Amino acid sequence: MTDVDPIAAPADAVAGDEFRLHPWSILLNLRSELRALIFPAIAVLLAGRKSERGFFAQLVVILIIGLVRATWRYFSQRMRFDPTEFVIKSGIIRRNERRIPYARIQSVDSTRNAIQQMLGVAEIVIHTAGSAEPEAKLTVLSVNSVADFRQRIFASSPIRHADTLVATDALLDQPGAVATTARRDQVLRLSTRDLLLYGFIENRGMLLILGAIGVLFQYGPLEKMFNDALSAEFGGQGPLRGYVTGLLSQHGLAPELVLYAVVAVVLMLLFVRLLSVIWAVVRLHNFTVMRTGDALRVEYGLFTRVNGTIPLTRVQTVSTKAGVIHRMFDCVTLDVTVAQGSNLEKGGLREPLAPILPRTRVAPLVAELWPDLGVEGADWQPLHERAHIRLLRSGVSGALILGVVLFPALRVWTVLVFGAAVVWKLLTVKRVADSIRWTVSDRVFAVRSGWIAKQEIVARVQKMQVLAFSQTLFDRRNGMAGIAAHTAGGVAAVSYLPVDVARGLLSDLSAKAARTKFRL
Amino acid sequence: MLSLEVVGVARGVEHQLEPAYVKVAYLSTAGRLLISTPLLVGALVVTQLFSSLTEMQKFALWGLLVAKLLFNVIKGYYWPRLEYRHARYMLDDDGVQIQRGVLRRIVTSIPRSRVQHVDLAQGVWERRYGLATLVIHTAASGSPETSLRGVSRATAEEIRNYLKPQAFDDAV
Repeated sequence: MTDVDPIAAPADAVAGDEFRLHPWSILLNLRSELRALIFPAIAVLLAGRKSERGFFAQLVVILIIGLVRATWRYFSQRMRFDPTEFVIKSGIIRRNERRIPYARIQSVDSTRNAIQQMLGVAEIVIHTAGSAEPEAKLTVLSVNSVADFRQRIFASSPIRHADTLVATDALLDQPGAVATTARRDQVLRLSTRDLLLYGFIENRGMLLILGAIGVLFQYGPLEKMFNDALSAEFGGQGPLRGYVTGLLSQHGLAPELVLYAVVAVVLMLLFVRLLSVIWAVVRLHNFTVMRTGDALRVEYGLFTRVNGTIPLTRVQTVSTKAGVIHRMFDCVTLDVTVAQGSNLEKGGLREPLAPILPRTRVAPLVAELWPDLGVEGADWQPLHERAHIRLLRSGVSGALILGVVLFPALRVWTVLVFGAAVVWKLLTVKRVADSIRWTVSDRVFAVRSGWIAKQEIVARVQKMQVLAFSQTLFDRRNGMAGIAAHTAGGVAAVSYLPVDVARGLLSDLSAKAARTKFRL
Repeated sequence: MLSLEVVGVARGVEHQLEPAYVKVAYLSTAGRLLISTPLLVGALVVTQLFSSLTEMQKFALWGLLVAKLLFNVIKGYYWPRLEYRHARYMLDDDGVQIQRGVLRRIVTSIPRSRVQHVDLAQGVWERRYGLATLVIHTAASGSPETSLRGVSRATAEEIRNYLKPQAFDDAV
């Protein structure tokens, strides 16, 4: 039995191999314990605002409760280095034992804030493949033990360590370094004309307007003006309302007036689209995708320059979308999902890999970048023959709900709207159901759908992590089921399959995924 | 104290949960209700004392609370039976398959090589009856955790060992 150094603070090693966090963690974790108590704390404090002494006493009580919880947690958490796994035991009433195999650990990071630096401790965060959330957060260990910790973990899997390093290098945002070491091939470049079209399709103008309103609300006087104007209008005295009621009383519901109203609305909508177009042109200015070795490098932006890297092997799914306007210009929007390894995910709003691309260029592009993902000439399978009835039923119930919601506003007209929706559904549902197809091979699982607006998603079998077969109550009654293949990025799913087909697909995909090695 | 025979989990065959799961499930629910009910009642009393509501509205709120409690009690007692009836798990060469759910039945299949790490948890009642909950973590963005509740502790440990990474699993 290897003699484990007590890498926690002195005299904290428990029962041979087990050890605990540094005792300072009781105080340092107090803040997060108190945060967990925030709601009851607020309630109690609000209720006891009367006497100052009472208030102070309650504050102390809350602090004591926090301390007790932190101490409880400190004592209940024990860790251990097993031969192949790192073991974390926690909890006394509800006990949990987490085992993290060394072979699965992708990274071990340590951070130290100011206070931690003063006290000579550090926080260690362990990441395995998958979610952004760490699998283990050890707050805190003594600084001396951090290096020891890393060494122990990576000693068991040198290959994994190297893999992580290689991936990290590819991500380092050092344009100079990358340019000299790797050839850059341009894969895609969007002209301003392309961006004009994309902006029109995107229609993010409304978001901009709402955002602008939000900003304006930061300034007190403007907010007051806005509120006053609104209350005046609704109160029946505002100038706009006066103008409109004046017009109505003069002319009645004359055709010219309705025409003017319609034109006004159309102009408004066009204005919003125009905003969206300008926003896209500025935001995605000079959108370029280049290939550097095993990764794609994306750059765009006029005022805010954005740079990102996407390792080709980390791509989980490739999807294309084509709405009505897309199809008028024979274009698609192509996007990918990536497992950890792309620094483009950070910073919120991420752009598709190819916001706008001529449809004919999709297949060659995919063939060049990801040869295993081609679905040309694949054998596309249909849904259950009665899938269109299920779609119809769900469409009608959706319209019903919409009708109920809109009823107060539209009253009698609701029936018309509902009727139109149902008729439209009746006419189109068979075609929509027929357009949904799926196919599976040793390399991919793909689903395409859409009659007017088309979509397709292709998921790599090697990237599949979990396969799911699901049946709702209605599915069971109709002999149908759905399949979803979860990758470490996106999901490829199809519903309303015949049950036996779905079951077969589940075992087929499970077997195919099991045959591939795990590579994030 | 129950003694559960450790005979090993047969491969390639569907297994049911332990019968004790039903009891453990509704005992846990009972415990939770015992704690949350006084809190809810207290909150309702505070709201009624300190806010201006009509008698009708106060009555309605109390009615809602009673209805919710009744619903929770009845569901807490009968739902675990349904869960037990429809839950299955299976170990085979490819990985593990877990079937669960009452209204919506889901079969989750996890290949062995895709398991990141495994949690083994035991609540108070689970310890009392020798059961455990297994939580399997994967890299899937859509459903990273899959739980298997209501297996014996020995079974859970065996499944956990079975899912450990094998030497040939990872590509470089």
